[in-house]
Amino acid sequence: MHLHRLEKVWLLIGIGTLVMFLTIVGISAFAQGHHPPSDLTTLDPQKVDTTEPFNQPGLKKIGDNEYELVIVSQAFAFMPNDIKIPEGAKVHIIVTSKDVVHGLEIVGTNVNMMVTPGHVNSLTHTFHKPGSYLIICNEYCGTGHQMMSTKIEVTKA
Amino acid sequence: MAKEFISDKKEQEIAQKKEYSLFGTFLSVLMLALFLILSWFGVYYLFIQRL
Repeated sequence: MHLHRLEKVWLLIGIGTLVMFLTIVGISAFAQGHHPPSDLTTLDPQKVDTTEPFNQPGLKKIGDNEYELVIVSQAFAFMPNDIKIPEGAKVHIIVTSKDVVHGLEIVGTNVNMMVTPGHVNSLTHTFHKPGSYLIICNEYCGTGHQMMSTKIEVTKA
Repeated sequence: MAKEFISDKKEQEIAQKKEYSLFGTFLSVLMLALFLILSWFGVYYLFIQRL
């Protein structure tokens, strides 16, 4: 098959980009352990209220300025809805849903995950700047979806 | 009529064998590549800023 010289050049650029992309994704996944925010734990979505740690949603101190934040989402609210975190705290966010698929996004941060019933999702984030952070549901979950939000107050240490 | 048709066909064959200039297309492809790469770096910058 005859190919124009410039066609060969841009095919090479395209293939090179693809190889570069797969290499970066491969190293990030297999060598550095990056993965989607699902920690592969499952639970019965009808027994969320009696399953650890979701029977006591809220902030728990687990180390030196290190916290575990357990959130339960349901139509159309996040539990708990009044969260106060000290500045610079490393927070492991653990979340599940009691009913339908929700989203959990902390606006202005990299925390953005899908919350699926029957699954536990988790992400770790360090809150460097004090202030008010808005948590919103970013997966359409029903007629009250636009009201589903809460706030995190990051207080000065 | 028939002769004209044949000569048209021959001309078409000659034209197909000629190498076209693809410089403009190449430039457009490179411009698209630049746009994609810049948007990737933009997203990466946003990610780093929000860590």
